[in-house]
Amino acid sequence: MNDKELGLDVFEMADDEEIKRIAADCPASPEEKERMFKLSQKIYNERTNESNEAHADEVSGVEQYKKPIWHKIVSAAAALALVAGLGTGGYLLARRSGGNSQFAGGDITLSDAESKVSNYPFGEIDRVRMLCPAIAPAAIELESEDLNELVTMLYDLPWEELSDKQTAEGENSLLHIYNNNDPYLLIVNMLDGSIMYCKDADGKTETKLYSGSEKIIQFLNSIELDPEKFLNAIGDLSAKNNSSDIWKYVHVGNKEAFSVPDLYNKNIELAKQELRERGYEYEVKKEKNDEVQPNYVIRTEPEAGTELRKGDTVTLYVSLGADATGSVTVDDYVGKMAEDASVMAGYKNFKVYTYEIPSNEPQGTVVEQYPKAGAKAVSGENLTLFTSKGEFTAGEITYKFVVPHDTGFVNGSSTVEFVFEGNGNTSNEMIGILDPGTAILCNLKGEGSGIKAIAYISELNTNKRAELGHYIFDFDNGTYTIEEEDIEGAFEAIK
Amino acid sequence: MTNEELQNAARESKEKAQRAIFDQYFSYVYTIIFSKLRSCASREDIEECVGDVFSDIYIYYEENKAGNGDISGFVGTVARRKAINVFNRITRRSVPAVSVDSEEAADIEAPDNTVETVERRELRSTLLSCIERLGEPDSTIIMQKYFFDRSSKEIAELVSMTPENVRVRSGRALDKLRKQLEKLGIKE
Repeated sequence: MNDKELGLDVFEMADDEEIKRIAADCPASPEEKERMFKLSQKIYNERTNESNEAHADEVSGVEQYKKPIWHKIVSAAAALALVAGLGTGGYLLARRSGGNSQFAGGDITLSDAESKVSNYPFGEIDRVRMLCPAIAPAAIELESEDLNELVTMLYDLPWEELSDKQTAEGENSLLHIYNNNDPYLLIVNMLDGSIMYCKDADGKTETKLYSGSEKIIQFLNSIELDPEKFLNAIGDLSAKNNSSDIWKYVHVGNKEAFSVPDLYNKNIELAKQELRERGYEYEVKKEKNDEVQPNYVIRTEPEAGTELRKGDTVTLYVSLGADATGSVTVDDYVGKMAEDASVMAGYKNFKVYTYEIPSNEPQGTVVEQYPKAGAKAVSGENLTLFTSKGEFTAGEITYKFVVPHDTGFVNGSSTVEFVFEGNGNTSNEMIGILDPGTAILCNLKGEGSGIKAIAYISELNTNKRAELGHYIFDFDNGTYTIEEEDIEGAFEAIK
Repeated sequence: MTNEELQNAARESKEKAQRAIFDQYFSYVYTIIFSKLRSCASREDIEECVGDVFSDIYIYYEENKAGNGDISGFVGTVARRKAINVFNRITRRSVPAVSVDSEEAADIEAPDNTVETVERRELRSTLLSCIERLGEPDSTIIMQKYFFDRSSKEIAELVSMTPENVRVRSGRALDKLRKQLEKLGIKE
C-alpha cells in the first residue's frame, strides 16, 4: 500500500488542530533543524539590511540621536563605491556596510540603547542587583523599567577614568551586574557620585574609579525599596567579597519558593508543573526503580532544598517501575502503627492482611511481618502484619505462621498438631482455607516455660503430614521461640 | 511561549529570541509547509520555505506586529500564506487559467463546498485518531513514512531502531491500520 492508497494526502487541507497533532511526529533531525535555522537567519539578515537601506531616506530626518561623524563618512564611501562601480574592493566595502547594522543608516528596529554609540567600557548590562545601606543585608533586583533607565544613564556617562583613587566618605550603593554570568560590581558613592568598578579576577580585585553623575544618585535614591521584593543574601558577601556570590546565593522572600521543591513520589506532570511555576527548566530522565511507581519522581538533581535561580534546569528522575522480575524490597514495618504500615505497604502495591496477636506493645503496633523486611517480594503479593492486641493473658500462646504459597487446596481440611516433649501431650487445631498470605493462628494453653514442642501439619485430602518446626513455649510470658522452622518445606511436602 | 516571554528573551539577545521562536514553532511550521508542498516541492524547496517563514516571523515580531500572548495563530497564518505562494509559484505552469467567460468556467466548483469540507474534516480526524491509536512507535513510523515521505533509514535514526525493524513494524502497523479503517468503512 502506498501513500495514495493510505490517503494521507487529505492532510494537505488539515486545519490547525490537526496540524498540531501531526506536528508531534515531525521527522526533522537536529541537523536538518539547524540547517533551516541558519537559513532563516540568513534570509532575515538579507531582508533587514535591504529594508534598512530602503528606509534610509524616509527616516533620516526624524532621527533622535546623533550619529558619529565617521558613520557618515563610511556611508558616503559605500555610496560612492556603488556609484563608481569599482571592482571587488569597492563591492566588498559596500557589502560590509550593508551587512552591519551599526553602519547602515536609519536602523529603526534597534532599541535606543543598542543603537547609540556608548562609551560604556564593561560589556553588557542585562541584570542588576542592588545593595544599599537602607536595606542591607538584603538586595533587590532591578525590574526592567528601572533597569532600562539605569542602563541609559550608565551608557550616557563619559566614563573617563579618574587618576586619584580616593572617594569621598559616605554611603555607597552596590550595583552587581550580571553580564552573562561574568559579574562585576559598580560601587556608586552616594555623596560625590563617583563610580568604582570592581572585578574579581584570579583572586585579585581590579578596581577603577570614574566620575559619575548627580543623576545616577538621584535615580538610585528614587528606586522603591519594597520589602516584598527583597532578596535575602545567604552567602556572606562581606566576608568573601566575591561579586559572583550574589548571583548564586540569593533568593526572594520566601525561601521555599526559590529552592528545588521536594518532588519525591510525585506524579511527573505535577512535578513539572511545580518546577514551571518556580521558573525552572526541567529535564526528564527515566530509571528503573522498584520503590516508586511508574511515572513518579524518584529524585531530583540538584536535590530538594537546593537554591536555584530562575531558568536553571532541574533533572527529574522518573520511575519506569520495577525491573523485569517486578520484585520489590520489603520495608521494615515492625514498630509502626498498623494503619501507617498499611498505607506504606499499599504504595508498593502489597495486599495487606493484619492479625492481632497478644503482645505487650501498645495496641495496633506491628510486632511481626511476613515477608520479613529486606526480603524480595513481588509487587501485588500479600503482606501479613501481626499487630499487638495490647495485652496478653498468662498461660496462653498464639502460635502463628503464614501460608507461603498457593497450596491448591480449596477446602481447608488441614490440622496443625503439637507434640509436647516430655509428657507426650498433643494438641490438635483444625485450620481453615489455606490461601497464600493468610496467617494461621493457633491458641495454645498451658503452663510453665521452656517447654519444647514440635508442630506438624497434616492435610486430610492428601493424607500427608509434615513437620513445621521445633519450638520452645513460654506460657508464663505468652511467647515462644523458634528452634527451627520450615513452613515452605512443610507445605511442599503435604501437596 | 507567549509574546511576553519572547520579549524577555529578545532583551537578552536577538539571536536568543530567534532561536527561541524557531525551537518553539519549528515542528508546527514545518508540518504546515510540508503538508501544503509535499506533492509538488522538493525537500530543498520546503526547507527554504521554512527558513523564509521564520525570517518573516522574526521581522514581524521585531516590528511588534505579532500581537500579544500566544503567537501560534500568527505563526500559522504566515506559514500557510508562504506555503500557498510557493505552491502557486511551482505549479503555475501546470494549472491552466480559465477565462470566466468560457464554457468550462461554469463547471469549476466554488471553493467552499461545505458538504465536502465537512466530510473531509471528518475523514482527516478519523484517520488521525486511527493512526494515533496504533500507539508508539507505530504511529510515528506511519506518519513519517507515509506522510512525511521519510525513508526507513531516516526514521530508524529518529526512533532508535534498525531500518529493518522499522520496515517490519511499518508493514504490520499498516495492516492494522487498514483493518481498522475497513471496520469504520473508510477503506475498501
